[in-house]
Amino acid sequence: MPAPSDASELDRNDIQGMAMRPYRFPFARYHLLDVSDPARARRWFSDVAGRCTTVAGLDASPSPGFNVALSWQGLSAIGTPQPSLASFPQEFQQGMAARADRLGDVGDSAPARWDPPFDKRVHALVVISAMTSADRDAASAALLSDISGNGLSTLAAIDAQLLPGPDGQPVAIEHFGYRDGITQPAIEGSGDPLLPGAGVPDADGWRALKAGEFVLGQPDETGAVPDLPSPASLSRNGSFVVLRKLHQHVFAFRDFLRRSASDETDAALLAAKMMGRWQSGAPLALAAARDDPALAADSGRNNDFTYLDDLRGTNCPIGAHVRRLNPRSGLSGPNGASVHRHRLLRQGLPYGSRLPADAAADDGAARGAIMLLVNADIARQFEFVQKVWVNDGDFAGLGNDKDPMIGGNDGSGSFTIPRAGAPRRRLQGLPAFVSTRGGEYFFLPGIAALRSFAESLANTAS
Amino acid sequence: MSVVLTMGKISAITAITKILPDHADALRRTLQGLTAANGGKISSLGTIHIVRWVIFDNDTRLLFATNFDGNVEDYMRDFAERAPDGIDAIWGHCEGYPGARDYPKLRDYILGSAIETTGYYCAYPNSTVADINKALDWKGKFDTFLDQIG
Repeated sequence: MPAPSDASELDRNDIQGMAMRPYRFPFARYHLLDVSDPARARRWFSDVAGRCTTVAGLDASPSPGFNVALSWQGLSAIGTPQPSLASFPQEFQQGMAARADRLGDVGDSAPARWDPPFDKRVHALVVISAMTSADRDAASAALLSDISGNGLSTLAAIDAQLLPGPDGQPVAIEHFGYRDGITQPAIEGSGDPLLPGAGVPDADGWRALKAGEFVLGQPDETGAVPDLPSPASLSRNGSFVVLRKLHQHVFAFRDFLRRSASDETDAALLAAKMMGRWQSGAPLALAAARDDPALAADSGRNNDFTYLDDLRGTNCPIGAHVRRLNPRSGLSGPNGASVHRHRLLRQGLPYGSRLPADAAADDGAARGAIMLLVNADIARQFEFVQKVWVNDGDFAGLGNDKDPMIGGNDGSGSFTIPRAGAPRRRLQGLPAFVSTRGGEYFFLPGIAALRSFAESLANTAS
Repeated sequence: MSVVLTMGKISAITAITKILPDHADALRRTLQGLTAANGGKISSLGTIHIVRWVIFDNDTRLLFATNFDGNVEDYMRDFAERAPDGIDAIWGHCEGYPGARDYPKLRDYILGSAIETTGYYCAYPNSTVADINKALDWKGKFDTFLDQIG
């Protein structure tokens, strides 16, 4: 057992890249697999360990990316010994569907309505990430021919990619029309540059979050290394990946803005207030009155704020989506003390085609985002964010308000917009603009752990 | 049976733990210190309506009863994050206490020593501590305003 001081030496060759670095690949295919033959599947996982994209590997040969994760059912299906299975956190054992009530996955978002393959238990996730769709297709075809005969079968493959911009080139703009992917947590040892606003505000500006918030076996923000699932050889340098398939009701969103706003300028303002950023990406914290595309495009400035000068939310509403998911220093009172224990690294891409700007009605097409949310503790990070910050308002004195963009509103939701020198404005009758269509909790093993699947599990099982 | 009863946004839990031999006096001083000065650290947690500790059974057992906002798991976890020293200072005097820094063990300890709440009523089930303090603050300001214009 290494002492905590040893554990803090990060081995970037042993950690899968998506545990620490936001992926910038424009194309991805998410392969969801089923284990049919435990022994062969174990050998396959072991064989592909060396092929996985690591944190260090992202700097060397970034494309195509290849990452492998298993659900608890998957760990069970390949024959992981019972004491090890039982040592994983309760929420991971139960899986996402069983946590629906906590997550607000009810009504239209309930697991009974989820798309295949999430209507049953998925065993493994293989993520192919690529710079071109041709690379993605080639790597996926190679994967599928590889798994046949290796004790695995494919349940589904979901394509996701950046949407085309006006000139047809892919742009990081999600279906509702906002620039996406601006804020990511800076993580110690990830090798990524520390951009202002990406980590934790401190006296000297910004510092990166401790790696243990994302990687198992590393010190976290408390300074200690939390207990690991056993054996440590399986869990160390691993992480947990929360997959969410989120359908976006784009027409309903546009229609709500039209109905709630007095004119187009007001609609743009309301859209900004709900998100906390203008659709360009410019943050309300720095551009409260009007959009500022130059600020939006400047990665040295577009995230450099704390909300400490806006505790009432007259610039950026306290209930705005990006402020809820990353309150920074903007939560006055006791709930502000532990905000950095609830951070998530977001991977993900849109699926489906863009709804035309002049659409007169919902076209019924499937479109949304595949989100992969990375964290070391699903209950403390993802589930807390979803339950307390997204689907409730009490943490910030907002009563029953939910997140206006992704909260589980039912047509009677409200959103409060504080104003300086005028009474607050309140939007009423919010429906859900996002519905959950599937998801699962996955464990993203370290490379050495994956490599050991064949031998160690076989030995224990025999 | 449920050890946590919830009404609206407010929940109640009652737990009984065994005090270590000869620790009752130190525990008594800790509890009196902790709750002095308008609740001190406890009020700064912001989600506790009422909390009561009772040392009973000839200094051998500790009763803990509280009413708080929100889900027991979320808020107990947050207390453990924000005030581990305070939790240690109390239950560190009790048998089997695992420490506040390992949240799952702390949760199992507190929930494991909790007893069934058989009946529960709250007069303001949809008002959080923050809501109530804010309403009282507004009422105070409104009264001041009326005094000034009267």
